Amino acid sequence: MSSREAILGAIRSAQPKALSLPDLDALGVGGRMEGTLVNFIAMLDFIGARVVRAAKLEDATTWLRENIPVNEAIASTVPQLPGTVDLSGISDPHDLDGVHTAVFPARFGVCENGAVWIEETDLGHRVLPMIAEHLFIVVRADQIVADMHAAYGRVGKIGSGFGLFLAGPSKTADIEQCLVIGAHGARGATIFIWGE
Amino acid sequence: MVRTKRDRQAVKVPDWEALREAASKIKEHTLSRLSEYLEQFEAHAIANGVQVHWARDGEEHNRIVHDILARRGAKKLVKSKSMLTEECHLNHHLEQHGIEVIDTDLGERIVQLQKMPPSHIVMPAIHLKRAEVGEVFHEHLGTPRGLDDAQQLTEAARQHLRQHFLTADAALTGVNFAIAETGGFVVCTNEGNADMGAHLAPVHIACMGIEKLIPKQEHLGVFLRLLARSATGQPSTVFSSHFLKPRPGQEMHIVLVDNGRSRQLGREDFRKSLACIRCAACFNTCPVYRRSGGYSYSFFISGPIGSILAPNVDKAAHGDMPFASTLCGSCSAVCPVKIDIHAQLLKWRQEITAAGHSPWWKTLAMHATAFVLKRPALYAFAGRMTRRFTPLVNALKLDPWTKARTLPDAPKESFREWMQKQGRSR
Ligand code: SF4
Repeated sequence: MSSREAILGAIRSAQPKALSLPDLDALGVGGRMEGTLVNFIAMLDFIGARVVRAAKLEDATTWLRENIPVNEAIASTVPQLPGTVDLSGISDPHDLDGVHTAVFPARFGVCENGAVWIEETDLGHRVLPMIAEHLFIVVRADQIVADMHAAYGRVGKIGSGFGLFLAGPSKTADIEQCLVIGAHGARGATIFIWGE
Repeated sequence: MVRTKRDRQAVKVPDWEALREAASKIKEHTLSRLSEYLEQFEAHAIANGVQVHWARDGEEHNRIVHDILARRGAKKLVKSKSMLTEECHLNHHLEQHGIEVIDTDLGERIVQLQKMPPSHIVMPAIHLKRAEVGEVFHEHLGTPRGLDDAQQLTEAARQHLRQHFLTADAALTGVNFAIAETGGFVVCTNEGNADMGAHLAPVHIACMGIEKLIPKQEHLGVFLRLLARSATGQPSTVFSSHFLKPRPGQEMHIVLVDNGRSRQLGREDFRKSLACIRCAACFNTCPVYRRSGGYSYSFFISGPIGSILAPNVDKAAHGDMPFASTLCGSCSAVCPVKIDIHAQLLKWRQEITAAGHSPWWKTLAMHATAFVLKRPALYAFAGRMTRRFTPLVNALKLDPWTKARTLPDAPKESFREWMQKQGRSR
């Protein structure tokens, strides 16, 4: 007997009679937190992300020029905000080591925890949000959902092979519980929120 | 400290109790139809281009992982946090076969360099002081002697581990949740180490216990809202990564491990322990864990949940663990999936004693206690003797407990004597 059959057989004889799935609405799960831009921004601040507000996406050009040292590598997947690294020419993700700032879009933001949803197709390389030293993530102001239930409603079927909720810069508290920003992933995350 | 942070986050969520109830019910449902959901998960994962393996026990799990690595000629494996691989002693097995294993979670790397196991399932090096970490890094990473700044130590580890990420032949991650309807799985970290490993290496192996399954993607909404808040008091982990398919040119494997879980599933009283999402909230609130630390337990998962998982594996070897509890119930009160931890501890005590795994002196002591408690005069006499002879106990140090500790001074009078005096003066 294969291990698969052995395990499934053992489970079949051990599991109790089938219980039904709970009705989440009846339990009162979700929809009880406010999904406002103000709250979203406050949450981003709480989790250590930097927020930049602007009317137009193009306004980000100025911010990037003023805040990223010249000669540093910028990898961007936002056509309006071209970077210095030609992502289409990179086939090996290891070559992204040394990128100073990664610029990419998020589909929407989640008010309750400051996370933004990112799809693989918007990244070029899956490792981009971790390997870059800093992140510059653009999201539209009208794309904010209240909680994670609404968020999964928006995510729907993930068409690509990878997607993630990203909430602020990477961090650790593994040494004496002292919070340190910048573990293995980015040392800083700027969320650029544009539009009304 | 972590407990306070958890409380602060939990009260900010108006539907917190509804979420706990939902999580508990979803897990119970899943466990009642686990075989179906596993088959569903497997079919979808295969359709996504992932190779699925089944392991009856730790040994088979280790063999599967080693075979995958050997076929690719892999020499270096970067690993993110996985209690399952601790359970199976994977590192040791691979090292014997000449494969270098690098734990990449900062806390796990620290204890790995010390050749010690993690002392906590979320914060593996919680028992160490900054200066001790500095010592370890000085010896292994060449940082200046005496460095004890958390920021600088973390930076040193970042540089050191980045080199390993860039040169690894394969990456291994744990799994927080596996979704039956999509065949995908979610890995949550704050450091980004699971992603750094998995997205760079040509091979990604994800190892999971069969209880990690949930039916639908939308259920992640429930579990992700609970997990980070319960674990570290954050509203969300930094990275909640949803893996579905390997990236082009990459090999992705999932290893499904039983190793005693189907047996626990068949034990009605203890089945619910399989709902655990390993948040460690029960550790952080436990008065016993907080005083004694992870190394005082005999099982690789310590704390309250470890104490109900361990006897399933070996009742005799870990028979002590369910007794190391005050049964205060604080663990059950914070558990995000509502496991009745303290009730299960009590049930294990009964099973262990009935199976004869309780030491003879404990049985004798219990009988003696019962004898005394039934006789009020004898009880009063015993109390007087104890009060009189406490200094002697401290001086003789007969009990191992008193070797490093001094019993507090006994009060001059007993509660009963005090009561009688109160009655008289009134
Ligand atoms: S038993 Fe509950 S509180 Fe303890 S680690 Fe598991 S899920 Fe968390």
